[in-house]
Amino acid sequence: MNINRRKFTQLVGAATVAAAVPYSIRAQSKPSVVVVGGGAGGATAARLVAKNSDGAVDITLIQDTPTYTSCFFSNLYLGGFRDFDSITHSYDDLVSNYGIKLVTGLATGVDRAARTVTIADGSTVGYDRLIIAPGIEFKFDSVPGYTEADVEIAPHAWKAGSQTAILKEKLDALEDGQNIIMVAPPNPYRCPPGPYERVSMMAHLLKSKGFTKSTITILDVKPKFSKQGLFQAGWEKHYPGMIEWIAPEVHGGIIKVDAKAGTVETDLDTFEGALLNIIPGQTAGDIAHAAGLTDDSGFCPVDATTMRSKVDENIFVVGDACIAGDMPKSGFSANSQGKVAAMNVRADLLKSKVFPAKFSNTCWSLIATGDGVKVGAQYVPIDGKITAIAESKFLSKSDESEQDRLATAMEADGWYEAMTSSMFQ
Amino acid sequence: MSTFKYVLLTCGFLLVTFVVNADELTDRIEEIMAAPVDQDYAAYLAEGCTSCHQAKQGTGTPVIAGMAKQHIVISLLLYQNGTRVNAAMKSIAIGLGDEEIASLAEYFSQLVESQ
Repeated sequence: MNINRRKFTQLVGAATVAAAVPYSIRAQSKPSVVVVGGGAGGATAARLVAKNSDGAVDITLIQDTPTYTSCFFSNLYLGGFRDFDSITHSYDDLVSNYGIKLVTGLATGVDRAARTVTIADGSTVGYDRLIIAPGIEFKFDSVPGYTEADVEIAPHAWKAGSQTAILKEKLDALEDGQNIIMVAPPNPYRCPPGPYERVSMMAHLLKSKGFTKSTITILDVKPKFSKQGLFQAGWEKHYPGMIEWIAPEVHGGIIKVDAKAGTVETDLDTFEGALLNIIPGQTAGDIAHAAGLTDDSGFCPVDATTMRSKVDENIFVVGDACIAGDMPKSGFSANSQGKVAAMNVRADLLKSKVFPAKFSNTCWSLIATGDGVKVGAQYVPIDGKITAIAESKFLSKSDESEQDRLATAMEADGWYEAMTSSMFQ
Repeated sequence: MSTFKYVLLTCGFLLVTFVVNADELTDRIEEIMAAPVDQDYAAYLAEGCTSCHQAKQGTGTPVIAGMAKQHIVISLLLYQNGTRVNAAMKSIAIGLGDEEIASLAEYFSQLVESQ
């Protein structure tokens, strides 16, 4: 195409005007919401904006995988309590029931001035409001010697999907007497009790196969961990002698992981395992960094009453990628934040009512068959921070009856079904 | 005071406490049942409940869609005062005021359990 000087001037002028006005006015259509990330935060937010807008908003959900495998409950798959299909979910209902446009692709960039999201194939999607829910990315350099090239040999399985399947395959292939070494991640990370539930589920599987000689060693970089007393008592009860947790002051620090050799060298000793599960430190998903929404912590500061980015008023950040005050990074937290963000996005675009933000979280963990424990709290914004209400905090008791533990395990099953319904149906 | 009198007085005190508390509870139930409800607020609050409560019967958490309004009100009040025991429900219930309990009870009582 030949472009003469006059034509060029016209094009530049049009582009300048386009960048200066909101996307919806440019497009002369309904306001547009783009959600990046179809997990607990993003799918919930997309569904709720759609459900409560009666078709008044165009919604596009950008997700890099055609289906979603939940990280929560993936440990139960490892333990043999669930099959892979039961933790994998389709986006079909979001499309057919709510008219959400699904784009299967990786969002690679955000032009905040033009209000567009770029997808890996080079296409762009415009927005009036953007909800970013990309979850986490790994800081591979947080574990000396461990690189991205090692993830199929020594899987992290801290993003569910193919990694979960690889870890399960390696776990199932172990023979009695072969050992597992886990390197647990530093704070803050996705699902604080997760590594310890995972170890419980691995031990359950080995025990159920009649193994008596295999051991699981956790090399932690934290001096303490979530539900520590409950897990350690449970390990002693159900898997005596099988699980050893080694605190950083004991092992002295991770010096080098050699995935191919199956070793983890520490100041104390070199640990050898037929299966290494290395969970690195974490940061917000790449798109949050690319969009310039993160601070020095590697996560995204947000307004505690709305989940609106403190960097850009047209963008909301929910889930593991945001800094959510006292809330842990969990699927439940992300779901709760997605609801607050959806309400405020609708209020921005449709002038709908806004109510005070309330957040909730419970983290259930399964230690053994019918032995469930939980921790949780309710949260409200106080002085700009999402703050746990002191009286609302709870934790399973160490002296609970077996019936109570069974009820908690069943409650978690019920939560999973309800939670995934509130994301996808 | 003899042991017998002490036991009698203690039983009497507990009985009076129970009756007074029961009366207070009854009054509060009536007030909440009669409280006005903002449908939009109710729908917003209800989204918090549906993270755990399924629309149709499954394992674990009970279905609250279609439950009688009074039953929901009483349940939340009993979780609040510790008579019904579930740590997660108590955590939520103690943060609910009368307007919120009325809103949630009204909202879920109007729903129909999915089949």
